[in-house]
Amino acid sequence: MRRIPVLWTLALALLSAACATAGGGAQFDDFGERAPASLDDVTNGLQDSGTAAKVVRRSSDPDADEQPTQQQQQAADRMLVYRGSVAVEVARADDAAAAFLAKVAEWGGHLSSQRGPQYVVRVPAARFETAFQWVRAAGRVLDESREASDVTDQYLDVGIRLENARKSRERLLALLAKADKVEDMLKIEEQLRRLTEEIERMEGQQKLLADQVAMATLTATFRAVAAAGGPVQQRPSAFPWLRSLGADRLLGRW
Amino acid sequence: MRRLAFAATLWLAACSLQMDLPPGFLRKRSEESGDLRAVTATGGRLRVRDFAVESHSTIGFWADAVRDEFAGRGYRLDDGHDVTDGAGRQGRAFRAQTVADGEPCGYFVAVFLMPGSWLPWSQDHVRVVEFTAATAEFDQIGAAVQAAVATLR
Repeated sequence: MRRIPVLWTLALALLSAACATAGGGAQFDDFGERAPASLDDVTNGLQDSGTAAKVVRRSSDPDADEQPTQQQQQAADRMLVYRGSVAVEVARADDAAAAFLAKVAEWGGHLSSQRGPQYVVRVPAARFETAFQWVRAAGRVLDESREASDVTDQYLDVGIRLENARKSRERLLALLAKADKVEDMLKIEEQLRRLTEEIERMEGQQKLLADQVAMATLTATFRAVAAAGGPVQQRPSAFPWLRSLGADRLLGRW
Repeated sequence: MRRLAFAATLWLAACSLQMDLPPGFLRKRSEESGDLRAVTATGGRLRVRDFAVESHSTIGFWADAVRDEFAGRGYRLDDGHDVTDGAGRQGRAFRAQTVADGEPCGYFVAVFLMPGSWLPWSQDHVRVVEFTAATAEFDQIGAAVQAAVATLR
């Protein structure tokens, strides 16, 4: 009889241990979805330049400890540059392109360039998938491709080099203030000029990367059916009632 | 007189279009006779109409005419497939993607040939079923619309 309380205690202990394990897993999953941004300095810098970068977060390694280190959090944050291209065959290329450009404006994007039926647009990264699917749905897909390039390392590398260059410039400025020989002053000024150019180049590079992350690039090509199958014939039909058919007529006033 | 009115009512009921609408459709009161119109809450539109045509034609002729009409207007229809309505009539159906009112949409059209009766004033008719909706909705309920065509009488 005395064994029964001991067995109960053991069973309860096992049960509580199992619950604790399950609870830990749930906490980890929760973290995976809400991983905090660790590239605040990066995003702040981008916002300063008038462009808010979208830092795409990937879920952490599920085998890692429940409380990730700051390094792990940084590894989970990624800056992705989205690029895509879709070519579709549509009934009326001009109408489709006009509708697409109107949507792009609605999504907060803009036309970057146009060459014939090919439109290169920039849309906020968060809208890239929507825009991509919109073009796919506009007609018969002839060709499509998309990629997401990870530029996190590149961005951080430029940031580190930029910071070092700025520190060097400060040191040179301090040296310049102390220099009393004209020859030294000229040498330091020459170094300063080169360094300033380098800093400006790196700042431009950083800004470009930030812009590419914030705004995805989508190339949409609208080819009219006529381009593939001969000229569109607008001859009068022998059966006038056929003219009353069609999606545009159906969507007209009822 | 009452019998005549009853017979006329029955005749009119027999002539009107009947179709088991797919879920989510609401039939609209039509101002034109021989016309069935239905809508979905999110903008999908279904319409069935009969058109008087010349006698001694075939369904293949009208399927080709529909294809040619849409090709001439820049539509790109698929190869089409055979369909059967609720009365056992053989027809031809096509699907297409297009942009209407600035939005990408799907379009479905089916044609049936209904030969006239032996009566001298009777004419052959082509019955046309059309359905269009925004692409997402079209992909979702297009199959249900096509299935409903099989109940058309």
